[in-house]
Amino acid sequence: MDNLLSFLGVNNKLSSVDELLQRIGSRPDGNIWMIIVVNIDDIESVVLDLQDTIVIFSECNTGTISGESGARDLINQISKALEEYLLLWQLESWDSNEWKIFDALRSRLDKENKGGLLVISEQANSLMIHNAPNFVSWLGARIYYLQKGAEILSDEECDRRLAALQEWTGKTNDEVIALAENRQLPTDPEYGEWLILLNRGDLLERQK
Amino acid sequence: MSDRLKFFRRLMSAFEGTSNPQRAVERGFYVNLPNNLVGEITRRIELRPSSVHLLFGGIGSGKTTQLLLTEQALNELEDIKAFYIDVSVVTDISDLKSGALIALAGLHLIQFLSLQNLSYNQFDNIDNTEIENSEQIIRKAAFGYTETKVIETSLTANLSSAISAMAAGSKSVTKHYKGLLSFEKDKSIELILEAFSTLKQAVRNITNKEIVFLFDGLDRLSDSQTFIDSALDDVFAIKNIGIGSVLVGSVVTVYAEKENIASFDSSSYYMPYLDVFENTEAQKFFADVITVRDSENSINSEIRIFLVLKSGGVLRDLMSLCQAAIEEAYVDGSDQVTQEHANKAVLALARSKLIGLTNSGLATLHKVMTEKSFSPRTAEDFELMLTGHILEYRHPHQRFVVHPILAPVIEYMVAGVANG
Repeated sequence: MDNLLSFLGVNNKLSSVDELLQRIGSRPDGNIWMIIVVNIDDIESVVLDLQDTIVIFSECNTGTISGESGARDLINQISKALEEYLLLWQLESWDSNEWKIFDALRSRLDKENKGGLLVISEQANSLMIHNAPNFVSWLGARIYYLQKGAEILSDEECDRRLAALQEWTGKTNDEVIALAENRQLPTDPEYGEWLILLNRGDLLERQK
Repeated sequence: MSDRLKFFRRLMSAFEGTSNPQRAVERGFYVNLPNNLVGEITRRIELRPSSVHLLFGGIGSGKTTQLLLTEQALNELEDIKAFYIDVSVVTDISDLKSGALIALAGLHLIQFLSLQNLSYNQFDNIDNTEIENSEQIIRKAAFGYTETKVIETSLTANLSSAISAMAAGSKSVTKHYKGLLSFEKDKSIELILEAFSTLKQAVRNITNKEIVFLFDGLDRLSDSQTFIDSALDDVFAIKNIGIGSVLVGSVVTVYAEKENIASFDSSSYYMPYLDVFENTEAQKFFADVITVRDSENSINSEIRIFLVLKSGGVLRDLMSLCQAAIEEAYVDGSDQVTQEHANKAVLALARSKLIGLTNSGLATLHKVMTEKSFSPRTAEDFELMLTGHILEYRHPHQRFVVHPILAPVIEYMVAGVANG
């Protein structure tokens, strides 16, 4: 079984946070929710990473909401949130009942905005799968796995990806940096990835 | 933003299966469902407007869309006013109280009356004060209220509160009563029903129409008993004062509460998943669902049929598969969805469905595949139906199958378990 699961797992395994961001960037407006499963010790750092960059790719205001006070409180916070895209975390203490409550209140997640992303551990993911079938049906295939640390590209892989981006757009690295400095960078998620590959993630902030 | 990204976002948006279905209907994406229930429910309500109708079905089978279309069809009738309510949006259905649906329906009548811009003296035979009082009762019942009482020496009730208040130097006691849409019940159902009846009469007087409520979201009740004890009790109380209801329930309730449901004077409908393997009409319907959304033919006919079959006749899964395949095409730099993209989408959805599958669940799935029969009894059986691992078809004949996205891997997994 493990062999098969790991085979299947390849498909939902993200090579990097950038890939996740690219997928978020390709999404249309709409009530679209995603899960990213990470090691429980990495949740906080992944959330911190995402907080800084997700706003660029989701192209809207992004809020981070903690679930540490339970599902009802989380749903209330979501109802009151003004942000269009939401990052939900700290759901590790939830038991089956909390996930059932979350599931029962699923309709309140649809604020006619852009949906959001839950950053959770494998254990929380399993509880969610068993106890929140209605919410899970919204996710479809959008449950991704990220192994932090494994996402760093080698220099060779980095050069290959940059060459592919240059070929795709007909632009050089310098031209892309210049566009970003002048706030003229197209919003296609590949450009965000490009800046990150060039270690110029700082320029993403300027695009807000 | 590049034209390519705009194109892909537009295409993905067309396959959005998680937003309010009303938006898809408005965008012209609705395709008539085979064995459409809208017509049947509407005609039955036409004959008996104060009847109760229970619509059951699996997750992602399209119940909400059917309910919204039924509301639309009912409101096109000359003498019916229908109200659609997603109960889970306004109340915590994980703790649904008896009386909550009545309070909710009452709030809708209040809102309707307030929008009519009429003075109360236009409500024939109903005293203005009576309507205002009824509105107050319903609002209090729904949202709760705070009451302050001056302490009298003869006060015996709530003695401990009175003593504490006096000790604190106060001459009054304040008590908060939570509403039915909150977490506690402290209400007289008779009083609420009386108020509701008055409001109903006011609406009938100005519209001259029969009233019908369509309650959505109750299929998410994890406890089927709550559906019977709270929700059904309420709709029958509403029926007794001459108002009809359509109620959505979970597939689990159909099996777990079969006898209970049969004992109520109601019409039950079941929305099974569509047998895209043995029912050509269902297969065509699913293919049409893709075609109407993919105006530029980014998904060719061969891949369309592949995705239809892999969806297992679950509408939401079809949407997920199409979206995932389109996303793969975008990430891959392609302008067309290829077989490889479709395969990746299928694997991604399969992976999601395999997470958390237990060995006993696996054994059940294997049994369904080999014995080609299934009789749901245990909590795990119901869970496998609820999560769409096991699908029930009823046309052209009733049968249970393992979701086709999982079937090819189940044998392999069972062998893996057997080998440790």
